[in-house]
Amino acid sequence: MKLQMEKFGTVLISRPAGREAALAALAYSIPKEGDEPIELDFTSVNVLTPSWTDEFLQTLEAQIGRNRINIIEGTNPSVQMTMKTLRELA
Amino acid sequence: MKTLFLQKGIGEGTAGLITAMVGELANNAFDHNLGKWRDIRGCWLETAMNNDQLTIYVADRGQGVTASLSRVRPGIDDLEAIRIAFAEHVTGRAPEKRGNGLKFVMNVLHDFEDIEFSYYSGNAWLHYSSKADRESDIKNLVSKAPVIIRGVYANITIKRFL
Repeated sequence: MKLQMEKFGTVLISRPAGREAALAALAYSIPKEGDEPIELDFTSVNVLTPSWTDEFLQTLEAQIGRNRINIIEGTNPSVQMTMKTLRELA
Repeated sequence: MKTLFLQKGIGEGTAGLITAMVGELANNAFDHNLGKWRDIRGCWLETAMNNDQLTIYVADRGQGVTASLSRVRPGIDDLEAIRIAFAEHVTGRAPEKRGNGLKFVMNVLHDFEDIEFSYYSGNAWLHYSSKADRESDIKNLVSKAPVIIRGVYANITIKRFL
């Protein structure tokens, strides 16, 4: 399934907001059972930070594991720079 | 903030990058000072436009970088604290896995052709100029500051972005 990340907002900055978004996604969007891949589509997000993303991904990964998550970056520079920074620090 | 930048004629992608960078600096003011404010709580954020130059100021009166990192790196001074904060994957909020924000700021700075960045905490500061420091090691950007800052004070000046 694909999660349109702009549904959590187009400006995604703070850690508390990232954690809250992940908890909402786990509660309402992501199937509780099965191993269907989850695509996170950031194409329509305007502003993204490592803090928001880190918190969102850590919360999600703790529940469903890293292997099920695929990320679609799109062309927004702040999304691309966030993903680049997280890859460098992984 | 992004709306303000767009109104000033800054492109969508650039406005997003600047907003994200400032967002990370402001995040730190809250994430590392919750319950530890010295006196005034919160973060000062100011922007100034002068012809084709944009300056952004972010400041807080929190515990500062050295105190924030002292539990994971005991005994460090202000110079070493700023170097670690920008260069290493470490956070004062261990055991949480954090510590990406200032590395992200450095990555964004490297994306601009003409930008100046100063970051003060305690008696140390980091100064980056895209004209002179693009290839510089972080430790060469950190030095003793001309002033002592309680908490953190950062300013970013972007030139000729229109």
